[in-house]
Amino acid sequence: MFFSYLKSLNPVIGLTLNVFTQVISFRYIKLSLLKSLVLGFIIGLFFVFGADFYGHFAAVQSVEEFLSLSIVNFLTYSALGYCYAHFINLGEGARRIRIIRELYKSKTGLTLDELLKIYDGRQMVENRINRLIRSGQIILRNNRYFIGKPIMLFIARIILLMKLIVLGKRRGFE
Amino acid sequence: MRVLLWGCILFVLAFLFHIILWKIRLPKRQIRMLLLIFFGVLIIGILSLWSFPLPLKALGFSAPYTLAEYIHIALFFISLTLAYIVTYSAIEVDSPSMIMVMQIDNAGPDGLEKMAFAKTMTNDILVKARIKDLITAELTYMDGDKYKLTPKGVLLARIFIFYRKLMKNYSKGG
Repeated sequence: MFFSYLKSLNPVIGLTLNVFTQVISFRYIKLSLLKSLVLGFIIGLFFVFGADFYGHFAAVQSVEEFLSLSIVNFLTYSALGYCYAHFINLGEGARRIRIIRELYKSKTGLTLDELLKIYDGRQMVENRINRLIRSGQIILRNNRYFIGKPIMLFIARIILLMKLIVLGKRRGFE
Repeated sequence: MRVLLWGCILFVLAFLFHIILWKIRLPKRQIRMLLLIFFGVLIIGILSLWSFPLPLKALGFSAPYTLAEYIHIALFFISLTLAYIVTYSAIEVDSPSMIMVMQIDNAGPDGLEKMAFAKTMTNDILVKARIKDLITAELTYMDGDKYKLTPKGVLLARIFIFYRKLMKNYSKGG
């Protein structure tokens, strides 16, 4: 009975460990946001696999059952970890969340001009370009931008493909 | 094996249902509709598996036996659904970083001139469009010429502000 529920809830416990590790490593150990997210994910993943192995030997499962449950738990944990990373990224980089935070701080609301003064699109572009240059995704040479490491480009192309499949958009980013 | 099988079957069914609906007509509030579709399929699917295990057995499929298995299927399905919805938001709203990378890639081997690139990144695309999205999502509303947060917007702002405080993250973000 206990092992059945442990198997089911294993990825949730893994996610809790992930979140705890991420917050501690960012707040106290002062790791960068990305490194803290990676560390949290790895710690949680160790727990998920460890608990699966423990369940396998303690509950005497067949190898087939063990493998299928490990796949389910790995996918579940990875999906939850991905959502958490996205949540952190939203708080850090999303324009909508930044605008909401500015409106929350203002108490009496903000006009469009006031919002644009606080949150200038050009400054945001500058910040993002600098981030992309620092991470090597783009290169600035002779006042021209070039693609550096192809990771962001690869992600952008996957999103384009998904746009085509789901929304039927052929034009890509607008 | 049953958890993996039924979790995947239900998710694929929900996904196909969503794609078909999207081809017929794109909903105005897409995320809300996605939640309705996926959770609707999950509830109907779980109830069907619970109610009709024998016909499934006749077809060569084995329905889950225990409550723990049903919980496991639901958790697996929900985590995949959340991960998909999180990814969908990147399809629905173009990320500036993705637009930048694609523009640079489209410029070809000569690269993209810095000034030409800056001209394409206007507040209309980067900020005003997102403010409009916030009104559509009922997170903000217009009060005269001012933008204000709805109770839903206030809640969302508080969640992100709390989390940034928890992490001691004082960067501006956005």
